[in-house]
Amino acid sequence: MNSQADTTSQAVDTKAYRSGTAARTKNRVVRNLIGLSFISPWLIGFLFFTIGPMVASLYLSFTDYDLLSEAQWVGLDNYVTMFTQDPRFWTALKVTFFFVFVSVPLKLGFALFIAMLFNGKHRGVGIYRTVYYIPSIIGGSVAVAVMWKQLFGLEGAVNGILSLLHIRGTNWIADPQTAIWTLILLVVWQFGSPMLIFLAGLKQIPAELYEAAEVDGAGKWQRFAQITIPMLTPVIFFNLVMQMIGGFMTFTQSFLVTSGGPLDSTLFYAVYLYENAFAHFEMGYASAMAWILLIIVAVFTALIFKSSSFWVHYESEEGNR
Amino acid sequence: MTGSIRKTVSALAASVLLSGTVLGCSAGGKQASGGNAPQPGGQQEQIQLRVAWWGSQDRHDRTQKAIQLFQEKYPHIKVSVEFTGFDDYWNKLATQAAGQNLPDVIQMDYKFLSEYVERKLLAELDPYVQSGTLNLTDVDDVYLDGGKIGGKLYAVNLGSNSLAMAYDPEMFQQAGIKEPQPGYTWEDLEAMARELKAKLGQDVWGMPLANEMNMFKHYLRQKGLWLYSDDGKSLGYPDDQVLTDFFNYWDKLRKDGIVPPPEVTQNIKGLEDELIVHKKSPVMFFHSNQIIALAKAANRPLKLTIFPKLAGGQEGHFIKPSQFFSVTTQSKQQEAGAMFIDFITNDLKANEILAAERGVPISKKVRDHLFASLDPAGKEMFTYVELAQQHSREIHPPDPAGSTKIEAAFKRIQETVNYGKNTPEQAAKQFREEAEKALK
Amino acid sequence: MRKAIPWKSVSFHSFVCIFGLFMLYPILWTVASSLKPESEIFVNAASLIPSALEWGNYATGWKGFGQVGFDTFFKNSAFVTSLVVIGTLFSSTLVAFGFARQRFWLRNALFACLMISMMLPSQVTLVPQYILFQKLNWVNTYNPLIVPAFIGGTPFFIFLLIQFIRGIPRELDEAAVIDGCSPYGIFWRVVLPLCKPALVTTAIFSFYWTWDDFMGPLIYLNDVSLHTVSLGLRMFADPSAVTAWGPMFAMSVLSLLPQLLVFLFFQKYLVQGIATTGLKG
Repeated sequence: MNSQADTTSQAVDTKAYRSGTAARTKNRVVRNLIGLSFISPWLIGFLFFTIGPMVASLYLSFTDYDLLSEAQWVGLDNYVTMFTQDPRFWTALKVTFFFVFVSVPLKLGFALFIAMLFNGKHRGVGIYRTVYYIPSIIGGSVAVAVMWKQLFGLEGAVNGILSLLHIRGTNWIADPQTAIWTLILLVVWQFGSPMLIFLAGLKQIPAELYEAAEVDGAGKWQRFAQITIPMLTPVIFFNLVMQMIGGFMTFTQSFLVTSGGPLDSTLFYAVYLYENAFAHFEMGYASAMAWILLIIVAVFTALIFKSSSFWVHYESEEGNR
Repeated sequence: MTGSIRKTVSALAASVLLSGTVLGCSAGGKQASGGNAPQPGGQQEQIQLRVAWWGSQDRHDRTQKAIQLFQEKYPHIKVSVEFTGFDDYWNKLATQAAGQNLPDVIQMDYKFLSEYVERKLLAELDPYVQSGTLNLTDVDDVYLDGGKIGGKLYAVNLGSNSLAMAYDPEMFQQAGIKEPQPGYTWEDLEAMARELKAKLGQDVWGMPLANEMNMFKHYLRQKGLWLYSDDGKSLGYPDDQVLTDFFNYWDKLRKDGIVPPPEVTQNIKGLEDELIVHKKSPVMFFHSNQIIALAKAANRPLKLTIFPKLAGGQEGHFIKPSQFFSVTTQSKQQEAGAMFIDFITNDLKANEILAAERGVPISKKVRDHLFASLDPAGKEMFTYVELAQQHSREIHPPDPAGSTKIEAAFKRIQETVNYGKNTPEQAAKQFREEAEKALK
Repeated sequence: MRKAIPWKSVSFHSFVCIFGLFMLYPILWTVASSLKPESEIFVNAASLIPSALEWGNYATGWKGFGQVGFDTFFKNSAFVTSLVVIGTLFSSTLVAFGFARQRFWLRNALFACLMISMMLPSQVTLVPQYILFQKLNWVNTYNPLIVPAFIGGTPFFIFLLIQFIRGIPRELDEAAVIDGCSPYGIFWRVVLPLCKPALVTTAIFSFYWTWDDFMGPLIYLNDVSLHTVSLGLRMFADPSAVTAWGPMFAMSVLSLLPQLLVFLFFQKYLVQGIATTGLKG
């Protein structure tokens, strides 16, 4: 039988087998309805609140829409302009790709390392966790942006510390070469969220597994490699996908700290999109940009999903360990 | 609960057919929101008026107090207020416009005036002026011109200002340099800056690096030109040399170390960061209505004077409405809206509360009434606007559609010059290319 | 036994503390700035010690704008955020269980829809959604902020819980079925209790995302009396005049407190692991 078969359905099917084909079909329908009932909160909301606006934005991508008057159909014009006549579009893509492929691994690396560090029973670990998580809470607030600009400004604390080491610092935020690194640092500094998720994942590994392994004579590193990592892969997978998606859509940090500058060196895709949508009243063009981003992100996500069958281990879906 | 079921079903229909809805949403679909329920059997029906503005905590407090006075005067009008910071304001307004849900009275800026008028979002106010509801008899025409398009009044000026140069008389005295007198030229300004830098020392700059769009527009006006052509479809100045000269003037000063490079000024996020506040520059170029806040931040007296003149050129100054109030066409209470604007413009007590925070009031009665009670910075502002008026000519026409892109492009190109990545000649050419594309 | 120097512990604590200082410094700076007199905040930016404790910043900030003070903002935020957290926990767990454990028509296609709905930048769905809610007459109410938490959920949490549920051995489900449990019973009695760490995480995130969200409140809440704390904070900043930094930082610090408290409170549940007693029956 299909090893992925839901054993609940197996139990139900047994009953059906005894009562004949009609009943079997009826039971399959019932099973489907039960499943749908579980996802109904999302499904209803998706149909009401999400799919309409999504379809609308797709439609708008083929129009010229300035929000203040009716949308005018222009066909593929927006897309053509984007790819052939808009150098800033390519700049935005370049900046965003660089940002994602640098910040996501860094952030996840720290998150995993610190989560493991705080998984144990050292004294005060609860407080440490809180301290390391605080930067995430303060998230996208105006206060953080101001503070960051201050820290890395010409007369900020960073340069103050560097001067103690006799190094002259520049205005890190205003320098086109370094501005993006201040944003990468800002984002990585907020690794508390994936850290928390890793922690939850670590906590969910049943203690019996470790105990059994210890009884079998496995050392600390063996336990780590054979139990911790494999059991953690669903969570690693989750964090990887979500951080990547979030990375591509990063907006607030650049918007508030560097406003996409200087010289477009931090022109994140979402910032450029926002500029077109609300500053230039070009919602149609912005919608086209949005759908291109969706396609890019979907492709990468699909790749990660495809790869997951090679390295992600689900406790519930394999017959043996 | 059938009402809500019906609503839910219609919501689903709306959701699935949303593309069509978006298309047809502006086709005369007037949605009633923030309803005004006429009370049966009352003398005057209760009117609900929504008023929106942007500003700081100070402005919010003052305006709300003034509104309380308004409600006391007109008990049948209840005002509900919506205010945000400047950045959020325009997003929210555009979103509300798209949803047919604009407030009744909105604060408006010259930059967006033509956009909103073109899309028929602002109501014509002339009928209310003629009927006397909106009393503008104490207002000189020159203060109203900024709110008129095609001769029709769409927006009432809330306070006038003009470009100004603020300077610190003490720093001038320290350097032993005479304060600039109206009539001084751009060459005089350059010489002055160089001398100030030499005398005031290493930490101080001669003046800020001020090659932004406002300054360029002023320069164009002095040359008798304007940024946009009459039809708004192309740039109004035929020769790139104008922009090249403009960029060159400032580039020279930057290379010579008289004005600060962008690394120094990039982080300025508000008036309190400006160089002059920290005594790093003896002058600053800005709009006159900010003098009150600037003087407060600098904590010492500052004076205002006009911009340098162009030898053999025209007047560059104009009286700028710092912001307006307009009535929206989506409003169902346009008359009440006009009454509100009339109150803000003319009521003496209300203006005492508002204290000219938005600029110099347009009504002569109000100005005279307020002058005595102002603090030194306020008095400086009032007297300055009168001085600027003597050196002004008519305001330029409002910016055409696509202007926001052009301003953004100018800012970027200006940056490339300031970072040394572009020569003034190349920059001028690049600007023309991008501008013509945006205006097409 | 003689007490040896616990090197491991010492190095652990010192590393964590030093690194922790880097993590904390920006926050400490914000707190310090909230207590500095206005003129000092940016002049002496690097210093963490205010020359005088300017509690006035808190008083000024608390007053808010016009007649609406931060007491109203905090009340509103508390209201909206708690409802959203409850709604999210409710809907996300049900839906995640459905996707993870149940089979039904179009399951894979619907899952793809779930994922894709996360990939569209919100700036472009903002306006169509606004128009939709406008037609429902929900503008200037809390409905657009709260209802989608109950109906629609947040794909992020749904996906998170799916991953956690897939990590729970199916033997536990099977055992419950043999005991005569319906799928709903399995959900309630078996899977949900084993998801506690994930639930706690969901609650914490959902709380602070909603608490910090300003885009939704910005366009849906017109009356200032309905505003949330996040909106209130943004109203302090006006680049054309002087921003009241002191009060803004003060209110930002206050805004942090509930989030900290929520985290500390729920963290307790994170510490307890899970015990899979179900296996032994």
